[in-house]
Amino acid sequence: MTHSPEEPMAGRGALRDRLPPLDPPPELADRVRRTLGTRGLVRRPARRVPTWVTRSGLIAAGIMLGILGRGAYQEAVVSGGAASVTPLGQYVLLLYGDTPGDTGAVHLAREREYGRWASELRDGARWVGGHELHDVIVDLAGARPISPVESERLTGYFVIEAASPERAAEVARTCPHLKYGGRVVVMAVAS
Amino acid sequence: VTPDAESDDALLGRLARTGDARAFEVLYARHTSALYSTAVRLTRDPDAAADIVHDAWVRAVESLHRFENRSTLRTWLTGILINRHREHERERQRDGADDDLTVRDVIDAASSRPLDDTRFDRLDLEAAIAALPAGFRHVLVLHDVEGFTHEEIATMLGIVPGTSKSQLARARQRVRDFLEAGVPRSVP
Repeated sequence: MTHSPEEPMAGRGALRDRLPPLDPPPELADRVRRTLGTRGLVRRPARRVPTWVTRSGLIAAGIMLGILGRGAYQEAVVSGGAASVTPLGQYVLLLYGDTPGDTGAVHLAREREYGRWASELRDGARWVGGHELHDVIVDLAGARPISPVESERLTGYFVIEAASPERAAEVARTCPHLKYGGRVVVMAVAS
Repeated sequence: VTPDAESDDALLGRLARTGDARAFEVLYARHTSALYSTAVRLTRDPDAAADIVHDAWVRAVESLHRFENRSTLRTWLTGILINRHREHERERQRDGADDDLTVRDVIDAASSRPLDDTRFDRLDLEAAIAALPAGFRHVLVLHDVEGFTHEEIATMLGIVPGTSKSQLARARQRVRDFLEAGVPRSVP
């Protein structure tokens, strides 16, 4: 709340302590938690693999910082329970195109499908980050603004780690974005 | 820094970035009592109040990206609560014709004596507020109980600040009238 200089303070908030307390029912908290959990909006912090969350530019910023900070990152993993130790490189899967009219519950279901796909990567590949991208704010080429072509609109990205470029390409071929008519471009992150 | 010591903004950031349940729990604990109190006084129905507080939290978390730091989190949450309440009212077709004040009805709010300098029983006061028509009740609860400014109330209710002031003045007078004449005890 703010204080407006022209507004008399008299009476503002003065009745709060003069009224009987009204405590929310204890079950309300569980009800809110359950709804938020069902919709994938709130998760326990220990859970590592997130769903494909759409609604925060902050997430994108955080992930991009992660990419920049881990560009040279190499890690050994045990794949398939065998003792094979494989160095991983980072790759970006750029998702182009979108499904017109894909909103609301349909969109949410698709987000969850993408999230499941990302969380289930294994065998020499694993999810690092990703986010859906909203509409282009401005598309600049030098000093000349250009109009983005809708069919080539970048709609999201995943960052993965994979044992090889070939494995990254295999992963990309399984991305659910393809079955919705989208295009997936794989690029290696410079190390 | 423990979650309890973090600012609303920091907790909102973590909730938006990672869906951090602990951040949500702290925010819920900080703001739900005020939201619920407001909701009960607006709806006069504890069950309906719980429903709209539930819906307000879900909508808020769904639309965290829309929160701008032009207001406090509590103001933003209360605005969402008000919107949900109004939808709820429309759904239940409980809008009263007594809410139709316009700018022409503006009364100089400065001439309206605040209620806090009046001595009265707090249950009578609660009952008097509950007996107000919805438009008066909304403004009085948001201003005199919850402490929002007329500008904030105007934004929440989709009216001009002058209307908020005039409704407050009339609401206070109506409460005084109730208190002097006796109020039916129908408060939840």
